[in-house]
Amino acid sequence: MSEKLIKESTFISFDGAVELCASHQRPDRYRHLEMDFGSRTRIVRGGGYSFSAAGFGEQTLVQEMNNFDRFLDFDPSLKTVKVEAGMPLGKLMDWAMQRGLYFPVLPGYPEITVGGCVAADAHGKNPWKDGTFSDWVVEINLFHPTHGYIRLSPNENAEIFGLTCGGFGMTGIIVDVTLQLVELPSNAFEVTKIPVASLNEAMQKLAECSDNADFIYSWHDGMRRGKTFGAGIIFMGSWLQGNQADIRVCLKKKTMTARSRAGIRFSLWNNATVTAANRLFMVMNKLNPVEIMDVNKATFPFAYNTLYHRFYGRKGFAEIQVLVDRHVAETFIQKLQDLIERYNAPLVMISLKMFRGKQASLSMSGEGYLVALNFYRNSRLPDFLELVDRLAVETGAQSNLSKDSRISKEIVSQTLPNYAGFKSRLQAFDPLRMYRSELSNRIGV
Amino acid sequence: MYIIVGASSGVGRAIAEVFAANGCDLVLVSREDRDTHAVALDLMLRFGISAKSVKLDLAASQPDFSEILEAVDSAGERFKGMLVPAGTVIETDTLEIETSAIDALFRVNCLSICSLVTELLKRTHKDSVISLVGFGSIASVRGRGSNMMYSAAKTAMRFYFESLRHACVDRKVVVQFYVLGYMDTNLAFAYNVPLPKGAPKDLAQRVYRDIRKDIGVSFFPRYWLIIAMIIKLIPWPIYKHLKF
Repeated sequence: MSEKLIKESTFISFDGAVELCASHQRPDRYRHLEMDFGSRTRIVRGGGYSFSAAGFGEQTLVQEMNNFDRFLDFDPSLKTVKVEAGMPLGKLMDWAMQRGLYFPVLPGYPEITVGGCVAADAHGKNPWKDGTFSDWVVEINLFHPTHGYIRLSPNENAEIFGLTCGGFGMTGIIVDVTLQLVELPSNAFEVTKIPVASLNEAMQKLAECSDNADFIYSWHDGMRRGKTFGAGIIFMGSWLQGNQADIRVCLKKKTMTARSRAGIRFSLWNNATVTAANRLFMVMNKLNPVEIMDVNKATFPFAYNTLYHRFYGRKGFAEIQVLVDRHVAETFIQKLQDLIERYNAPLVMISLKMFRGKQASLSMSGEGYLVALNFYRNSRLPDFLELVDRLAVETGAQSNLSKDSRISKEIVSQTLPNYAGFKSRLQAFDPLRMYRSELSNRIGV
Repeated sequence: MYIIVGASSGVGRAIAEVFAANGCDLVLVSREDRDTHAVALDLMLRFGISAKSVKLDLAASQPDFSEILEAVDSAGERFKGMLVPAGTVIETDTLEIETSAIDALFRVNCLSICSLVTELLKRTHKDSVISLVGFGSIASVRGRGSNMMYSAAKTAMRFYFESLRHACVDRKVVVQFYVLGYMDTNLAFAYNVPLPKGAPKDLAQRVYRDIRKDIGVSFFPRYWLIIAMIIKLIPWPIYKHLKF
C-alpha cells in the first residue's frame, strides 16, 4: 500500500539568513528511511538549530528525523547508551541525570539532536578539556541507499566514521549513535564570573584555567571601542561538591525553533539597545560574581534566555566562529579590532573559548582559541564579513561551517585544512553525491 | 498489562508511551516489528516497564494471533485491556481502487481487529476487568467520494464496537471507541487540512485518563462532535458538491 509521505515545506536556517522551499518527509518507520528515491538528492534534518542551512536545500528532499528519538540500549557497567539520531540532547540529559550520568559535550540548545551533533561535530563549553562530540561517540549506525546499513567507529570503517563526524550529513542517514556517558558529579555548578578588560586578558585567563575548569568561556561587549574594546566577563564553572539541596534539576519544556525565533517582524537590536543590554548584562554579572547554577541552566544558557535570539527578528543575525591558532591569536585580535573600529561593525558580542579537536572532515581541527562574533544585520554587514573572511585566510583561522550561513567555497577551501581530502574521500564513498544541502552546494562539496 | 495494536508509530506509539509512563507493562503489536521493537526498548529503558514486541500483519487473510493470546494467558489477571489504533489508508482509495486493495483495507481497518477481539474475549473470564478501545475516523461520519473503502471499514469498526459495548453489558468489560479528527501523524502529514491537527500525545493522555470509564463513543478533538453533527445535517443538494 502506498502512503503519501512527502509534502512541500518552507525551511529557514536558525540565523534567519536562508529560507527555501523543499520537499519534506517525516519518516516514522525504518522502512521510510529505506525508501527508494532513485537519484533524488536528499539530506537529513535534526532539530534545525544549525545556524547555516545544513539540513535543507533547493531541489532536495529533507528527511526529518524527529520521530527517531528512542533509547535503544544501555550498558550500565560501560556507561554507554545507544540512541536514535533524532534524540534531543535535553531528553538524553534528563534520562542520564536520573541515573547519575551525564554527557560532557553539549552545545547550546536542548532540542539539538544527537545526529546533528555528530554531523557538525559540535563542541560544548570546554572543548579544550572535553574535546568535541565525536570524541565521545563509540559507534554510529549509518544508512546509505548504496551501502545499506554500516557500523562505524574509530576501529571499524574508521574512514567513513571520520567522514561522518563533522560531515554535515553528507555521508547518509545517521540512524543511531552509541555514546559514552560519564558520572554526574553533582546537580549544580559553581559559576565564577571574572571581569576582564580586553580580549587579550581573556585569552590569558582562558589559557591558565581551561585545563581545570569544568566549563569556561568568555563573553565580551561588542559595542565597546577604543581602550575598552574587549571588555567582558569570563564564566568559569566547576561542579559543586555534592548536590545543591534546593536546586530542582529540570528542563525547560520547549525552546524556540528556527521559525519561532524569527517571529518578531523587526530587529530590536541596534547600537542603542545592544549597548544598553550589554551594560546591563555586565553589571548584573559583576553584582553576582559567584552563582550556583543548576546543570541544565549552565549547559543550555540560551534556552533559558530566548529573547537574545528572538530580538534579532525576522532578518536574523550573523555569526562567524573561527579557530585561531594560539601563536597568531594576538595578531588576529589586534587586526579584528582594527576592522571593527574602522568599519563600525554591528557587532553585538564576542565569545572566546579554548579549543582542541582533531577531525578529518569539515569540522575544525587543531588547537587554539575559538572566536565567535555575533552581529545584527545591516547594509554594511556583508562587506564587513568578507573582510573578516580575508583576515581568517591571512591568519590561518578555520571556519565553523555550522555557524556561518554565507561563507563561500573560496574561503572554506582556504581555511579548512581537510576540505580537499574530505571532498575526494566523500566522492569515493558516494560518487552520486546523494546527500546535499544548501551548505554543501554553497561550499562546493 | 495492555496490548496495543498498531504501536509502531503515530497514535499507537503515543498511547504506548503514556501507558508506559504510568507503569503499565505492554505488548506492542504491529507488522513493522523493527519499529515496535525500538518502541519497546525505548519504553523499557525510560520507564522500567516490561514491553514485548509482536509482529502481526492485519492484512493477512488468516492473521496469527497466537503470540498475543499467549501473552494474555500469561498475564492472567494482570491483563487489563487492548487498544487498537491500527489503521491504514491508500492514495488510490477512489472509484479506481484495485479489488485486492479493498480486501486489505477492510482487513486492516476492521475485520482482523474484530477477529482478534472475539478471540481475546473467548480467553478472558466473564468477570475479568478489562478495557477494549477502538479508534476510527471522522471520515466515517458520512459517506463521501474520497477514501471510500477506508471510511466504510472504519464505519463498520465503529458499529462493531458499539455492538460490542452492548454485548458486554453483563461483563466487566469497558468498551470505548474514539472517532479521531485530523491527527498530527504521518497519515495526515502530507495533506493540507482545513482544521488544526490533534496531537497524538494529548489523545493518549485522554485515553489513559478515561481507560476505565464507560464513555462509549468519543470524539477527539472534542469539537469534531459538533462538526460531525453538522456534516450529517447538510442537505444532499449541497453536500454532493462538497469535495473533502
